[in-house]
Amino acid sequence: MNTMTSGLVPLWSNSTAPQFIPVLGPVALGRVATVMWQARFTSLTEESAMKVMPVAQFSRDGIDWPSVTVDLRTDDISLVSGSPDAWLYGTTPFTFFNQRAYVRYGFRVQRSSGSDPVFARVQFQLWSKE
Amino acid sequence: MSGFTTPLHLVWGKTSDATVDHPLTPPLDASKWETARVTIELSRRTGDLQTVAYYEVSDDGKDFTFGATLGPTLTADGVTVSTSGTNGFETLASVPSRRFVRFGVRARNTSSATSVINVGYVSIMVEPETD
Repeated sequence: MNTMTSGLVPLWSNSTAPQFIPVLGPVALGRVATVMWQARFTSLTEESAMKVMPVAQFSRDGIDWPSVTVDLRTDDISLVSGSPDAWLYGTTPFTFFNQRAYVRYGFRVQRSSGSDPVFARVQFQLWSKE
Repeated sequence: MSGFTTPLHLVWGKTSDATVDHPLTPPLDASKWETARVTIELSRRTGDLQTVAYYEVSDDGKDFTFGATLGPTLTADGVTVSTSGTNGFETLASVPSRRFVRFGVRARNTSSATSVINVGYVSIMVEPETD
């Protein structure tokens, strides 16, 4: 079991169009990997304005990253609170099959509505087993 | 125990003159931090961003309660260090009997523009008082 922890990474969005922000990796990936994760969000500037989805992205060479991502949850997370921490967890192991050689993890971020900038910070921790 | 310096972090204020807390350390053993001297550096500040160091306490390492701000407020790029207490080492009054403490930066955007978020880079150095 490998454990990886990101730094404290700023996330921001000013659009309802989703954008991917990488926060962890890339790392080499075996043919199958099972991951569990948790994330701590802080410093949100506008309550209920930001939606996030933890995702994995795959690459053959660790350089070029196709835009397709794999969701690690079944639904978006709406960040509700302001300065107090919000903790989120992957409640069940998530397994990748037959993916490409490298993986990185991040968040797909978007505003719920509107176009003013909204900011938050995340620390992402992941347990991986191949 | 020696102190530590955080990496450079981007911090931001909030619209409408409200504060945003940016915890920048993991939960630390509170028994070792009854006093602390904090140095804060602000750089590449935009607009009307103000920053001040702070600490907060917890019994489970998950839910934190604000303790107090530490040292002067920076209203421009520069460095400042705690001056109150003995040699700048301030007593962390909320720490006794708590299990965890963490340090961070409280940012405030004093701009009157409702849609503007100002940002800056900060780093804090936290030193414990040693005998």
